[in-house]
Amino acid sequence: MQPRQLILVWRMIPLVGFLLAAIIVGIHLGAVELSFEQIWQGLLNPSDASYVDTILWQIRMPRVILAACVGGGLAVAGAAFQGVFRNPLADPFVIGASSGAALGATLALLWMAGSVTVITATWQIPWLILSAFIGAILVVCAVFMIAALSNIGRNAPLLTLILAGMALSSFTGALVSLIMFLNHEMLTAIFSWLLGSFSGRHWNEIMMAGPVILGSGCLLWLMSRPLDLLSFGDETAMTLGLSISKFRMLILIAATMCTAACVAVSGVIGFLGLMAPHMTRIILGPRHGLLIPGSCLLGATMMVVADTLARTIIAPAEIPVGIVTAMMGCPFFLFLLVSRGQQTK
Amino acid sequence: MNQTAMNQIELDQVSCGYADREVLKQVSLCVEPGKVLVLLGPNGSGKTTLLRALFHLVDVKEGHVLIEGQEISRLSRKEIAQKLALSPQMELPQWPMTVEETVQLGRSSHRGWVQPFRSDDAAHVETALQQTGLTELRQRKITELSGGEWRRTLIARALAQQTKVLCLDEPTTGLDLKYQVEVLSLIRDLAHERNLTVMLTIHDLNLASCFADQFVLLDQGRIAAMGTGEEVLTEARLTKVYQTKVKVVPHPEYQTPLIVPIL
Amino acid sequence: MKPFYCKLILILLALVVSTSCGSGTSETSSHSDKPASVVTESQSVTAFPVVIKDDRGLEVSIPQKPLRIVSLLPSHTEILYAVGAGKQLVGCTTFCNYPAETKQLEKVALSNPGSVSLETLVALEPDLVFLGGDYQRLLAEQLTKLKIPLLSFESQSVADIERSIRGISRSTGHAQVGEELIEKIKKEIAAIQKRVEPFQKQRRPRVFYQVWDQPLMTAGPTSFIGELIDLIGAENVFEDVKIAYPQVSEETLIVRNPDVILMPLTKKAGASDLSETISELRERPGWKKMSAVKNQRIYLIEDDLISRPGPRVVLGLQKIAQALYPEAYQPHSSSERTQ
Repeated sequence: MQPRQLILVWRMIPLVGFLLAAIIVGIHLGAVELSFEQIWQGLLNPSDASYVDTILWQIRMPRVILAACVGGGLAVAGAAFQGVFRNPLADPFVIGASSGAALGATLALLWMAGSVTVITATWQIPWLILSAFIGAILVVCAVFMIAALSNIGRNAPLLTLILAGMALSSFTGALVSLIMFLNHEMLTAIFSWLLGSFSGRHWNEIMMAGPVILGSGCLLWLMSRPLDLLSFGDETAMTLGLSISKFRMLILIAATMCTAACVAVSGVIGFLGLMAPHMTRIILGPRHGLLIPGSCLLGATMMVVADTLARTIIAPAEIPVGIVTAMMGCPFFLFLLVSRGQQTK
Repeated sequence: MNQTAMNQIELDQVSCGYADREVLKQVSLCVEPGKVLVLLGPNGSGKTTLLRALFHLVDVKEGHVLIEGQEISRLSRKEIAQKLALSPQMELPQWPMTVEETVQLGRSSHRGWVQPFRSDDAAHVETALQQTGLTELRQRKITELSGGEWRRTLIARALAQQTKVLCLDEPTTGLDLKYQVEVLSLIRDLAHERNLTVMLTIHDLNLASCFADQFVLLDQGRIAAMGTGEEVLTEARLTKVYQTKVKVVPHPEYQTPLIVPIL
Repeated sequence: MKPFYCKLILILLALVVSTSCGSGTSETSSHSDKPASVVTESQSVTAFPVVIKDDRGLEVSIPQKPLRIVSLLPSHTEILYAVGAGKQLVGCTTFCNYPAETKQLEKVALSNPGSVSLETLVALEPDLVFLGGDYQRLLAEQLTKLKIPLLSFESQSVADIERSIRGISRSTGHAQVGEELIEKIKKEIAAIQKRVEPFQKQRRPRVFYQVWDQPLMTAGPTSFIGELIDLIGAENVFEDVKIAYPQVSEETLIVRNPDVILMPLTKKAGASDLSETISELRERPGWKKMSAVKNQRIYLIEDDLISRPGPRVVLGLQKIAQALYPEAYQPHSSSERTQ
């Protein structure tokens, strides 16, 4: 391997380190004090005996791990969307996945509050999660269809997708607002879901979202070279041998599935899918072979940190994690502004 | 002589263009290997469109485009990319990859989408960088290159693709005279020594006259003339096509046609 | 003879007139906490005009008994019916679902203040509109601009109930009934408190009220529900969180281990939901070992009873008391009243 690539690969190691540190600290800190000793004992001898073990195994660990999964998933999807759309401001929600999920979740809260779907005898998927996932997929499919049917779709496919995404996001957002307006008593529930949270999520959610995130994430990593080629433009990618419509569709589908799974289990947590790839690009460069795993690690770390803050700042009360990530967005964008300003040729 | 198998590229009565207008009108052309073919003509005459038609970047409305005897509509993008390489006229570097990484992407059609690049890929990349004088700049970010350096990177990427056919769209634009001569010399050597088929478009008639073997003059989408330099670059024809008065004199060293404008 | 009969008829007439008017309001005690307060009259018809000071601090003059009242808050609607002003109502919100007579009323709004149809409201030609305090402040300004007479009473806490009843009953010509209702509510609350007091000696029951599960939300001590819990002498496990309806940590809940879990019984849910709820809570990771779940002390309480500061607060408090102190409501225990 070339020396530069070797250097970059070495740079991944601190990212792994940060993630592990964040996870360990995340398990340690919380509304309830868990000392490192207690954690160590709990890991070695898992039992049901004390409340420490219950909290450790049933509540805190799955929550931290889910935060890492969702953070990683949103970051990878964000990196893929930025690559496909060749736009540094693209995020996982740009073609409507989040608004579709919001509509699905809102409808589920309205009609099915609390009832659970049984898929197998042992595995239950709550209606809320299933509905949010399906909603995300359906809206993105509608966006694809609009883009395919529209006249300029062939000449400016990316622009069409973004515009169709905005149109549908606007529409579904209006529907959600309408439902909130007409059902004032559900306002808090819907709003809390929209803000995003890991509260009350356990191993079940990890088992539901984890495989989808992992699978689509790996697929996107395999698409690194097509993403690199696409980043030079459609025509260049074509002359270098890429059948762009096929690969673009594949990448968008994988990234959408990943986003849908993340949003279905944790609500709409913004800014992370936008920030993490940017920060990773600074450390590891723009090639997707490193960018995608790097974004995954960095995104996971950031989400674990954000969730830890969300549940410790005003303990025992909690802040929705979407608020924390949005606050993290401010210094990030300012930093971007400053660094771009210094980049003038 | 129907030597279609020998001809790397053949256009047969090709008309193509964009949704609202037709750019090329019934163009027929055969390109032989081992020669440098230059497309000349004023802006809008269809030079770039012709090159793009070879890569199936433009819809072919009438006629056939054949590569090694096969219709391009039957070939996949990957197959086309393994046979033809393009150094494009306009491409903007967006993400800060290094020169080396960019050139390496030229090997994609050979390596596929998942397999990592191997040592022979690295060797081809190295050669391409040397041929374009970019070895010192290999680690530079492409967003920090000058116009000429970026153009040479694009040429290097096409070279790394190691195809039998090399198409270059305005490869000398923006380059210093030194690099203009170097690039054209390189292309000519590749064509003659390795039997590559080279097609390029260029604005500078005099440089074309020095380096090219075959000349095709396009005028408003049709071939106005095709042949050697002396046959194509005549005063009457050039004045008519370029709509400005010129005088053609022999080159002091090489006796090839030298075109000078008359004000 | 004639003068005697005349006097007899006069006396009879006087008796008839005085009894028919004696059913009107009579102020036996005027609460002096309202400075610009009411004229004490014994006849309902001469209770007007009356000046009421509402919770905006404004003194509103009611010239005569309002007969076309619109109530824009469910708790105020309940109060209106409880003080006998039901027949004077012409409009309310879709959320005003108690008592059943509300079905006949014209609905001018959905449950949130922004959904009021001003046109429908104005078309009803109301002579008095009741609003719910700061929650509907903007609406109050809009109605004032339209010169619609309105009174705004806060409806967030137990103390608000008394003020609302007083203000509503006086402004609708039922001051006496209002005061009686206030007394009744106070007595009944005190009775419940007395009934459960002996069972607080060893330990106050520790209760968790779950507003929502994902994210976990509860009612803090500053909320109405939190106030009821405090009134009943129980301990809210999240009484240290000063937010009305905060999102809280599941871990803390497990550590604090409540004795009882209360949840709202929504309109859509049915009776069988209790067993479903209990098993669902038991399935939740980490909740299995909670005292409340182990002992199956999980109760669903009708949402309207404990979220509307109104006359049914007693019923709500009673249900909470029954949930928290089941021993106090055993059939064999001495009690003034059964359920």
